[in-house]
Amino acid sequence: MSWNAGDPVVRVRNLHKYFGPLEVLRGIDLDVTRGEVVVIFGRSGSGKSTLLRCINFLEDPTEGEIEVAGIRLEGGHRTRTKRENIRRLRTHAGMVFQQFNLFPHMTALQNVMEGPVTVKKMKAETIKPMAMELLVKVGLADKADEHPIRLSGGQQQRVAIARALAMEPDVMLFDEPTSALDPELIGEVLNVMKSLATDLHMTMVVVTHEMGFAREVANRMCFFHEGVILEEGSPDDLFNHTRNAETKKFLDAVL
Amino acid sequence: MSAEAQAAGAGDVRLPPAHLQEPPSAKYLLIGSWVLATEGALALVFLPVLVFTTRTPIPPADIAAFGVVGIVCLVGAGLLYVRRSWTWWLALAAAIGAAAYLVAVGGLTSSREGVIASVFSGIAAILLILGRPAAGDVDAMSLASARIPFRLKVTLVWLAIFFILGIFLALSDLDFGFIRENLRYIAGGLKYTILLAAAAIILATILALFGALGRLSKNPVAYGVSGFYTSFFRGTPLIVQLFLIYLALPQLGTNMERLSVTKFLTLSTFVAGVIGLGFNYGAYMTEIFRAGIQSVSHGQAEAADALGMNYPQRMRRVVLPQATRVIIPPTGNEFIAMMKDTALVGLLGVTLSKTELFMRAQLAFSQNLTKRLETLLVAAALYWVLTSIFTFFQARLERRLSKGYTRTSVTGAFGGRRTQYLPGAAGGGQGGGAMMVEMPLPDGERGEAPSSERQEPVP
Repeated sequence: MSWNAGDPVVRVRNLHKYFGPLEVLRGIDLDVTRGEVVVIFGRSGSGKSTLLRCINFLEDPTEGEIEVAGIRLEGGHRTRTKRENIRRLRTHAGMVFQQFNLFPHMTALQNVMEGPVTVKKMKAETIKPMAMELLVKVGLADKADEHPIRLSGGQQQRVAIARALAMEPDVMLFDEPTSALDPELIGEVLNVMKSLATDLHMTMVVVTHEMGFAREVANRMCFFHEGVILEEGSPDDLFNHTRNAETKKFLDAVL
Repeated sequence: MSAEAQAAGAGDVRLPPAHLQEPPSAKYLLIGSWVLATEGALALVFLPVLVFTTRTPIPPADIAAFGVVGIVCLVGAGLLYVRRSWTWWLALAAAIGAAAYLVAVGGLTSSREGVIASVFSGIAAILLILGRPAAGDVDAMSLASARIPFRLKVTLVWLAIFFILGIFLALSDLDFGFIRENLRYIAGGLKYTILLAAAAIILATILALFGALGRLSKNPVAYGVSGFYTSFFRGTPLIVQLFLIYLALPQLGTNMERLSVTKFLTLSTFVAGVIGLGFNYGAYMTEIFRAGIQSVSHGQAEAADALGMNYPQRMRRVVLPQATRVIIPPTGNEFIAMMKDTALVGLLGVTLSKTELFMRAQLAFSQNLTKRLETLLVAAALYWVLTSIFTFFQARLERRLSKGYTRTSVTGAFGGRRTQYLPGAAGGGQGGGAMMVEMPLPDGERGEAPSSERQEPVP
């Protein structure tokens, strides 16, 4: 399995996902190249979160093919080898959840160190400076020893971003990272995400309703509708030269 | 509640504001009424002894009079809470009258009744006289009451209960000499009880952990085995299981003699006890552990998965540490129940009868059948002390584990530090053990009526 830096970091081919009889994803193809920021948007229930969760196999694709950082896996039943490969794939894809899902029994710093220490078996002393650096990067160096409960939603989400970054992933997946936040806390999280894109040139797939963020940061936008990508293109294409009537209707409603 | 907490709760509605300074006499009146009420309660608790005593039958009229004394005391205490100052005289009369009657008749079973009543009534009368200026001032009394911390009041209630029980037992001619002689012997059984319980607790915890993982497993063998295990050990009586393990298994061993594995299944009583208790309680705890693991939100498992953890890592690092918080309180209950059920193991055989606590108690009174009350009380008290100590440490452990779930810092101090459980994070806080060891409950939320409730405006 050879994989070159120029190849797409994420490659999705003909992805189908059923929940029972309901077909949530109806044949998705998506390539994300290194350093690209892809924003996925659309109505709730259109399948955008499901796509994101299929990419790191939190949901099992019913059919199709997923490739992350050269690890290519088919949908369908999990065999023993596949389970092993799913874990390998996940170490290359950092996930940020809508509900943060920080580990409440650990401090912010311990949360950030948890992945490298437990999964990569790195020594705590070795990883600690790097974890602190990440907390500095998300602006929470002074909160390193606090438990998540004593952090605001925005602070928790920034710790969650640092936790995902600590695994040094090839791509970051954001599942509506600001939807559970109070309006005044959204900005601080979006700023961190922005700096990931501009300073670190992180490859990112972002499911969000924040159209301001999309316009500013995204290289590409995908409009999801009833399980398919109805329209995709640069922010300029979608905002100013909308081709599809559904896309236009949605954008008119949210802008 | 201490000065520290009072300072913290400056705006606490429970405490009367500084400008509402009640006369100091109100406090005497308040405590006086408590003493009088305790005297009444003591009399009523003692009443059944008079009714059922067989040694010297007491005429029903005397018993009725004794009951009236108790009721008079209680009513007298209540009269102090009436918004009229003349009721104070009735309360005083009740206090003096109650003691005077018992002294006059020389007590129904012994003259000590009169002495005890006189002491109570005397204290009550003095407090009432000191508190005379506040008579009828119900608001002042409720202010005085509000200034006494809830925790202190609960302690007083406990002391009153112990005091009433103590006097009750003293009046029933308890042989303290016999208790002193046998205490050391019976308490010697604690060593065995603790050892047995500790070993069984370890076994039960291990079984429960694997049982719970089995109940949540998609592996049919793990699921089936754990299902069979919990079904059998929860579905049959513990005593039957103990007898099966100790008495019936050797028979199985004998049947297998031709395979030359003689004595293979003949266990010592200790081992049989540990296995019986461990397996039985492990089965109950399996369900507790399963529920605890399931209480950890699905998002936590997903976050662990997303980092690339495998199943053991996810369980060990993320799920079990969080489940522990939920598991500990009900598990503590199981442990307490198990400690008490060690007494059943004593039934297994003669070798045990000289070591186990309850068996020792029975041996002690078998020498002297009139001393059953003494020995059994000692045995009960020893079990109680043991479980209370356990509950104490459990409460501390729970407080330690609440770290990460409370916004206020949790200190090791044993004072009434307020602990705020957040919605959703609360896991059913109280252990509810035999003895009430301080739980960090917000004082204001207890049944204790805040002063404002009793402060109707005076017409």
